[in-house]
Amino acid sequence: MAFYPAARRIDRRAIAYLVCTVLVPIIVYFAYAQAAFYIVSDPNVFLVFHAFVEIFTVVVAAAIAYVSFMGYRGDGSRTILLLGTAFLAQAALDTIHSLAYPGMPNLFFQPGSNQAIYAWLFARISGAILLLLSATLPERETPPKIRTKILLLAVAAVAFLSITCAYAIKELIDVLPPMFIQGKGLTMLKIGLEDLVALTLAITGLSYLRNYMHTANKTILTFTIGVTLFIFSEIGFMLYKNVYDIYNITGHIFKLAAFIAFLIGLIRAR
Amino acid sequence: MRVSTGISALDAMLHGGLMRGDVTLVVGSAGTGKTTLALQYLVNGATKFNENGLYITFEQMPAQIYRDAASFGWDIRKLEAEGKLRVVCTSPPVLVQFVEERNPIDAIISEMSAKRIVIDSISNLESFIPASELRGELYRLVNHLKMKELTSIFTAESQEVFGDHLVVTGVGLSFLVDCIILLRIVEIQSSLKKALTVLKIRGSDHDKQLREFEITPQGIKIAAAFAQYEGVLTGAPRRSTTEAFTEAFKKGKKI
Amino acid sequence: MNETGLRELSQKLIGTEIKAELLRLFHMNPGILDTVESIARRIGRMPKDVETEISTLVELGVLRKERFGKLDVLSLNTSKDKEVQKKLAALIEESAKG
Repeated sequence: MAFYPAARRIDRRAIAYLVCTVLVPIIVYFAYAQAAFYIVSDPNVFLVFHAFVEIFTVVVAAAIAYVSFMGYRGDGSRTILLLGTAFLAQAALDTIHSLAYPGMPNLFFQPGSNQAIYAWLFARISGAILLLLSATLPERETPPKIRTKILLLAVAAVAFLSITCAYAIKELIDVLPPMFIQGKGLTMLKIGLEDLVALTLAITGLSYLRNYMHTANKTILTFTIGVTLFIFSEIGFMLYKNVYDIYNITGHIFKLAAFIAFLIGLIRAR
Repeated sequence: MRVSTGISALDAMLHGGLMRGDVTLVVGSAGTGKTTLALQYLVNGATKFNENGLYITFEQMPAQIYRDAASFGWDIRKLEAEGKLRVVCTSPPVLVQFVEERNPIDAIISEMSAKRIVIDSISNLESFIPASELRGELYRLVNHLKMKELTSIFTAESQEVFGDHLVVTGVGLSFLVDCIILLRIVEIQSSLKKALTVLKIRGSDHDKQLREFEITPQGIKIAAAFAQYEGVLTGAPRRSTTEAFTEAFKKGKKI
Repeated sequence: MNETGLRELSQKLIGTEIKAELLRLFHMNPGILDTVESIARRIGRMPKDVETEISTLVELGVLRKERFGKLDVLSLNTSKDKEVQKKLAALIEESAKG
């Protein structure tokens, strides 16, 4: 399929959206480089903001997972199964991340910076890998008879991952390498892992962009925008020195924007 | 007791087939396959279930019916020679002529011990019978066929080919019949497809799904339901969110 | 004699274009059971043009006429039609030999 016929059908607005999605975060982070923009939020205010963002993103992720799984049941597409599993993992693990955030009550485990970061990394790494597999593996159709079993396996895998994460946070946090040191900031391990996540998401984003160039599908466009915003969210999470500072806030704002884009992509699917 | 149409998927939609002695209305616009369905019902009755049938046509000449049936491998002339099926070409005033409870087609029904009858199409009666008398005449005809214990199919034309305005018949026939099967042409992704659904069946439950069907060289073949679409009966369905979302991500799709 | 019989029979049976059209209609569509008006419509003629021709065919026995209420309903008398066809065929054969 020639590039030019596809490009002609692509809305000029789409190109504008994509350009803005890249430029705006760059401008924001560049502005933050000026010392005057560095602020640290009141922990209580941040907690409320954080809870709102995470609840919203968990609900959207769960909705996308549900629709994907329903689609898989009818269609058997491996792509959509992996996509659904990625979002289910995000929903489950981000819930643990929210509960583990410093300042949250001790419900199942002692909240703390490292606990929250480990849960965050479980969610991001598993989500990024599954999204990458979804975007890049060739299409394959599962026979109808085993689709339900495969779905149950996917849900079981996410449940296992969540239990492992919760166990690690509760019982192993003292022996696991630290991700954040109070007074010093993020460790190289944490930054390195976020780099890997960002790189994985970048490959996924490029794959979605290529898909969009061929199909001009609006859902794919919004998911491309969502993944791009997610990458910039990860950049925020590589830069914060304090869990309540402007980089962390911005990271969460870009995450919220990413999930708004995913939600729009779901709603606009026609 | 059920009467099999011989189309297994349709029988499944009807939860076993038509009810014996019932009148079924098959309604659809031009080209939807009403005549094919009705003919297939009679041919199957004659060849598979030992139930002789009578096909009443008003506009289509028997010669055309023989020719069209032959394209599906149905030898109507042979079935007529064997006394299993008869094609009668008449006009509405003849069909609704009742004298001392006798009708011109009664002799044919008795002669061939017909168990099934098709009237194609009942809409022709509207041109010959005044509107004020039409419902009464139809009521008389329906009752006459029921008294003869015939399992009947009436075809009826729907004027609407597309659009969200669905009128089954303009004369209240839908209230007189026991079962209604609706055939519709729908547009899905720039192609025309045929859809079939059972709107009602008195005294029985039925499949409420809208299913795609095709007219194959062997006759009508009913396929899967339009589960992934909404608004199919409007003629221009939308894909459900699930289907559209799944399709967006599936690989191999190009403009 | 046979020549005369042949001429008379063929004159009665297919002597006019309308009769030929009527016979063709009924032979191709033996299931027709209809009124004069409707039959006329089916061959693209006016009822007054076909009435006489139909009466002749009824006299010959090729067509059957039955009264139902206010309607005269016509149909093909298959057995008589075959008989007439055989007779015509026999006459043609004899005439050819003669």
